[in-house]
Amino acid sequence: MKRLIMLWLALALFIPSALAGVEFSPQLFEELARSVNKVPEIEIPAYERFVLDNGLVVYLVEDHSLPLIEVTGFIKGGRAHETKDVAGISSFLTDMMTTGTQNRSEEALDKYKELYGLSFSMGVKRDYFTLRGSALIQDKGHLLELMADVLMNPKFDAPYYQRKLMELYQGLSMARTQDPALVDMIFYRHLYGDHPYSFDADIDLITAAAQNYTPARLMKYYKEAVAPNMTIMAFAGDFSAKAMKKEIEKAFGTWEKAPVTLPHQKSMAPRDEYGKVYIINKPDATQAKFKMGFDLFTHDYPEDTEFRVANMVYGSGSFECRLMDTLRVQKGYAYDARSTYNANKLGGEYVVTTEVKPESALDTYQTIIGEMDKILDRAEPITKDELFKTVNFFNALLPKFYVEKIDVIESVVLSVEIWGESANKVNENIKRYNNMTAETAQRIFEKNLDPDRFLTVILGQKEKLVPQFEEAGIPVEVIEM
Amino acid sequence: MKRSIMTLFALGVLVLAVGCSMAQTKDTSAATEIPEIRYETMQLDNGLKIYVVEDHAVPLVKFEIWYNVGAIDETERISGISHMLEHTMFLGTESLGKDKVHHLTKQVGGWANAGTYYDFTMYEEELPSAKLELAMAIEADRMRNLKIDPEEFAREQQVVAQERRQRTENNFFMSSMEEIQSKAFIKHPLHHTIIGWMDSILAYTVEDMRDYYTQYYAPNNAVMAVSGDVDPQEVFKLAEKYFGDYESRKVTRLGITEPEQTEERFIKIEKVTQVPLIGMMYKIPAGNHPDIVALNALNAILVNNATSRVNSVLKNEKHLIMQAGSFSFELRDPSYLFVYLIPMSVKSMDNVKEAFDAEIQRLIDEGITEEELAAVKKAALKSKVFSLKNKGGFASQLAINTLRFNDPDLYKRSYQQLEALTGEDIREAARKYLVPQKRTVGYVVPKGK
Repeated sequence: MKRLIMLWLALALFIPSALAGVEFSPQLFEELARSVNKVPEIEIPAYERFVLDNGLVVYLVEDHSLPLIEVTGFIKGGRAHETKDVAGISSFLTDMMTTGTQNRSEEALDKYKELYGLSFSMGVKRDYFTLRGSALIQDKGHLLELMADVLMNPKFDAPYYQRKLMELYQGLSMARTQDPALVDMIFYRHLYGDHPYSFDADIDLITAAAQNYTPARLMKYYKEAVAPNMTIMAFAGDFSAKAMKKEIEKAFGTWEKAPVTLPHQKSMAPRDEYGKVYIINKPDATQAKFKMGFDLFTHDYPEDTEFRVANMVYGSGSFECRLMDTLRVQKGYAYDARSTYNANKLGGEYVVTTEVKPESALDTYQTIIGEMDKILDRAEPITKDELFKTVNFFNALLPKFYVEKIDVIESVVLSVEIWGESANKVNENIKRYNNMTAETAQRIFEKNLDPDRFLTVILGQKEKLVPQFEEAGIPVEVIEM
Repeated sequence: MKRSIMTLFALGVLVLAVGCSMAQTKDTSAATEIPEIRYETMQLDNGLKIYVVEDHAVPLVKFEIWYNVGAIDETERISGISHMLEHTMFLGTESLGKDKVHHLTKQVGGWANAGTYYDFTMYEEELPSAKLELAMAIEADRMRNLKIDPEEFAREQQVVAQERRQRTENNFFMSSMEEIQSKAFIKHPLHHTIIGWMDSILAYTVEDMRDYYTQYYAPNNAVMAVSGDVDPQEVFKLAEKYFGDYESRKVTRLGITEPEQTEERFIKIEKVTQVPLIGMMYKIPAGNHPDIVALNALNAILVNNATSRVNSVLKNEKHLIMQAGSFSFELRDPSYLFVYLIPMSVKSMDNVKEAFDAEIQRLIDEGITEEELAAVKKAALKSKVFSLKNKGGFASQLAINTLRFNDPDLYKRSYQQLEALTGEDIREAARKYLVPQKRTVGYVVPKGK
């Protein structure tokens, strides 16, 4: 008995301090990590939708939580309107529009924005232009006035026109030395050929086309691409919808309707590009930058949601996905590796990206293909556990992106007005991915992905890259920069 | 445990007006009522400070542990080791396998991340709020029980080396800034950037890492910030359970002071680029110095605002530059304000620099306009209202201000100071800090030109 007491005493004295509070163990963590999240439902706020006589569609959402107003919006068409002779003109157009107007010089416009704390910007996507703005609620009248002036009264033969053009050339010249811009140019040029979807990445093409961005051509393009009957705006903020409607009618009622035709030519990836490997030789590159991909479905693909979830297993970019697990966690090659896809109205693409040290380029290329093959061959199919974690992750975090009413209404507008879907699309998607099985994910992955179609662009020093591929019997085409 | 739990009010219901200085210009200053954000705070006996901001909009919690250690605590031999330690923390403990932090957080529907800066290192998890204890356990375990396996450590060194290639070496702006910074700071660890030199990254030993971890990862050198759908009392209870028995440790710092700069320094850097760049690094005081508010306003008026002096004159009127920008680091140590200008050509670089200096002199000689001051105040008011949408960001701000200056409410005073700011304050800041003898100028030119 005495011996037993001594043993207990000794144990008590030698218990490491780490065990004095909580005893950490793998079991403890597994217990703490048991969780099945509730299937969320996103609350679509009450909104009013109305259409002005000129076709402008407006959504209003009252939100009295803070004294501010925000606006988001879209103009249908976007970059797809461009023709090759004016490739890239959409970005220049929006830059000119937001710099000054017929009523306000560049300086006057900037001063107006700063004095009233107004922000308003325009952007360009493949299928639409974007509008974003905000102000304190006390300045909402000024925000509307600013937006109306920018959208309705552009000035292209302005004193800053030449300077803007010069800045564009300088920016393009700079892009020609930047790895991401060069990789994108070669990748999208080969993927989309002459389709407008390739234009915004093609530095050479835009450099040549910019000489055609004359004030007259800009005005013509504006008339072809920007009109109230193509525009949708959504406002959320601390206002009364009734009064706001009147203010909007006053601000935008005189904007004239125009006969705009939406682009409709579908993109087609040239089939002879499948399987090709291009190496961009950049003598100063210290790493190998990868972009591999192929054409994929358009936005109206019925199993878009299921594909998105299945692809997360392969290349979400988080540490657990197959690409990161092999390229970073196991091999230590990459800081980041992911697969994404972009589905647009007229075409879409699937893309894998990563960056590694040059010596690991061939193995990286083979790993990207190999990991996809493991799923496709069912050597390592998508598991129930992988699917559960992905779905559980979405269920927990998705509501976070719909806390603000402006974010919810933006998603409604995109679904309804741009893609022609239901206003409740977000909740329909939640139901769809929660009804998936691992077999569904596997099937949709197999149906859409094929590593033989990978068009590969790698930027780096050719002396370090080419021999690796030649030794492996993989033909490459070198592009000098 | 010091149960001095206080309920504080970060922002009372304030009615702020910005128009006092605009009497002779347009009045854009109608009163704006700003709601309050509440936070609760406590401190464990071992020194760990905790801040909780409730936000019940969605059932999530953001959990952060901030350590008061970063790149300015490193000697040159181990430059970048704070960042390497951040990576090493994901290699696990005896109970948490390699990358288990990511797997466990993903399993419950969350994510984990981390970040290193010049004067802090931060770890964060965002999870369903019912899983707060998981985050608490992860951070408590790796605060004290980090396992450093030599093989895994060596592999992670390669990942960090690749990160340096990707983010610094293949980025002409970042790599140029790194060279200018090393010229500007001779003795102070700001001689190197956060990621550290490649030679250092590849040379750290497991012993270096173990020493560094032991020296700085202690409860009294950390702050916990929790925001989201939580009960503050529950957070405090869990903090006590997981961290309560940890002992505080004496933290010693390098204590290196940069000698006062007395003359302008210059460096010419050749890069593969088509456009040149002028980078100017001005020495400024620590982030809680009273002059910082005026310096930020000066930054906006001189460079960053669309109507800034640089944009109006150098860009729009004289067509000398394509672009300009400026930012500063408000650290616990004196640091720098960086101005960059992208001239239209290599030939015009000297002209651009002279024109920039002339604008500073004009600002000092003539002062600033009422409209310029009003624009700065309006932007600050708007930013303050919009920042209330991000309660997680507010919790982080409390943690940073505590780490750096033991002053969570610094933001409040800074805003009050801004409201009272005068044109003369800004002018004085220019006179005091934007002087050639306090700056290092870098000319970044295309290779061979």
